Amino acid sequence: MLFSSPIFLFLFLPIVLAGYWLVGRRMRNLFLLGASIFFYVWGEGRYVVLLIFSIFLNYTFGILAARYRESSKGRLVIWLALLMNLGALAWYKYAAFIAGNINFILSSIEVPPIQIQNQDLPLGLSFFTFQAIAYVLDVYREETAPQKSLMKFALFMSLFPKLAAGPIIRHEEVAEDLTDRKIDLELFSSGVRRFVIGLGKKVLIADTIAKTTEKIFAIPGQDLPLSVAWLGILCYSLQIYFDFSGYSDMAIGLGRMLGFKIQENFNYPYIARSLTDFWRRWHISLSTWFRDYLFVPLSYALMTDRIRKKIGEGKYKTNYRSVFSIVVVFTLCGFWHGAGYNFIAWGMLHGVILGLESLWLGKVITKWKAPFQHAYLLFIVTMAWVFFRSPGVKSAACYFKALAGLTSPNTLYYHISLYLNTELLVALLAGVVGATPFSKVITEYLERESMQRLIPFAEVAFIILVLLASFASLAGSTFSPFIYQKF
Amino acid sequence: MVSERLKRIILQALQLEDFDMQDETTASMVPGWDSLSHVRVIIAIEESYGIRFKTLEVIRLKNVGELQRMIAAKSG
Repeated sequence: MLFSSPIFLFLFLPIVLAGYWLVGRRMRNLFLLGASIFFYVWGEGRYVVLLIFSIFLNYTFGILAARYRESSKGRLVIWLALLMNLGALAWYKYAAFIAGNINFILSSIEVPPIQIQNQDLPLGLSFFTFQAIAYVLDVYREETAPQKSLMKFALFMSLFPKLAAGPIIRHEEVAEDLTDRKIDLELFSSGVRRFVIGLGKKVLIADTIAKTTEKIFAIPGQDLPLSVAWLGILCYSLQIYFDFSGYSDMAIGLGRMLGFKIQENFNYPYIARSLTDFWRRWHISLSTWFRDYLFVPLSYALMTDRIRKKIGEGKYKTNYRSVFSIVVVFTLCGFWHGAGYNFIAWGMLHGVILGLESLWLGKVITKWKAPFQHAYLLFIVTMAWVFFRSPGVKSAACYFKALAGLTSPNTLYYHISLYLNTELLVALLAGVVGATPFSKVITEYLERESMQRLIPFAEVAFIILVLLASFASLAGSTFSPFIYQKF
Repeated sequence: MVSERLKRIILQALQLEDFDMQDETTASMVPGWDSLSHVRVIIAIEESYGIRFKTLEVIRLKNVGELQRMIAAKSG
């Protein structure tokens, strides 16, 4: 059940909100848990068993991690938790990929291949698995108290606004809300506004642009003209941002309507001035996950006593070990998005450039004028999206050739005018403006000119406009899933 | 107040000539202070003061002032 589907908007959401207010405070957690489980069953049917199993398992791990902190039993609990959670993820997401690679080796030594069917990836598995791992580790590290109530823990894991594609929430973030949350009109209405903005981002911008992206990425690489290739990657860069940040806005908005304050997941990533800055603004819940649970432990583990001494004496000038860690971490981050070499390449590219920025590139960039910094960042990020969007590394390579003008394309058959239309241009323009904090600039201008009274009026008018336009667009559209639900 | 000693360690770890550091200074305000160089800053502090931070203590640090207080608490 997509947030932007009529069944969610006109049936599920109104019923859940009405029920939530009617059942009274004490029953709200139970009601919301029921609604979330229903939401999952609707989307994934039998895989709900996996979600429930994960809830019971990680609930137990949390209790045990607190009881056996700082002991060998505690470490055993942590390893078991990692093994079970990552094991499930590996089986559903990576088994076929790994088997394919092993079979490649086996075939060269003439051993019969392993037979593994391609599994369906259960909805939200990548997200709730990571959330569970963070929870157990946080409990062990005394970052949060273990959740004693099974029902609250089940709600923490399954809360429907963030179940399908995040944000990956930390237990400490919502621990208070799980016990006692106050919903006032202000929080509720800010949630509604946020949800509508997210809906508009998805339906009006991402889905409109997606139509052109699909068409362009379906053109055989050798036939792709230079201009069309650049239009395609511009489209995809905006599409993925509006698709995913739109989804995140909707999740955050729904959370607020139900009294949960979920952390921000995006902060205008495309206005960043370096890749380091970009990763402080893009998919924040995932990048902080990788930082806290993988990068930090890995890079500290690599700091041997010898290196520590060197650092203490100021003799360790080039931090190769942290650079190595960041490349490893981002390669895994790419792999998290999907079992394919194109995702690995995407992640590795990001890791390598982040490493270079930390070594010397970052210091060079800071001396540049702002427009050059923006151009640098946008170039890196859009080029990396080619790997992300292409079905494989080979087709990505073809696409790069087209971007460099190295193909001999059929410019007549795939002429750029076939892809440009008013609808797309309006969506692209809205996308470019919407990717910048333009609304903040307007608000500040109105405040400066003592026209504060206009702000609420303008906001309501804008929200209603977005809502009506989204509904109108939904009425005539077909099914278009969120990109990140595939991960 | 950020002590001269702490400031010197941070600047050396980040290979910076000089940067005005106040209690409210956050890592993102200082050029070159990212997650990668943070590891070096923390280890340089640990080595100099003979203390050890917990794995996640250092991530949750809000600003240089908090870092200074944490050092004082640990070495005191």
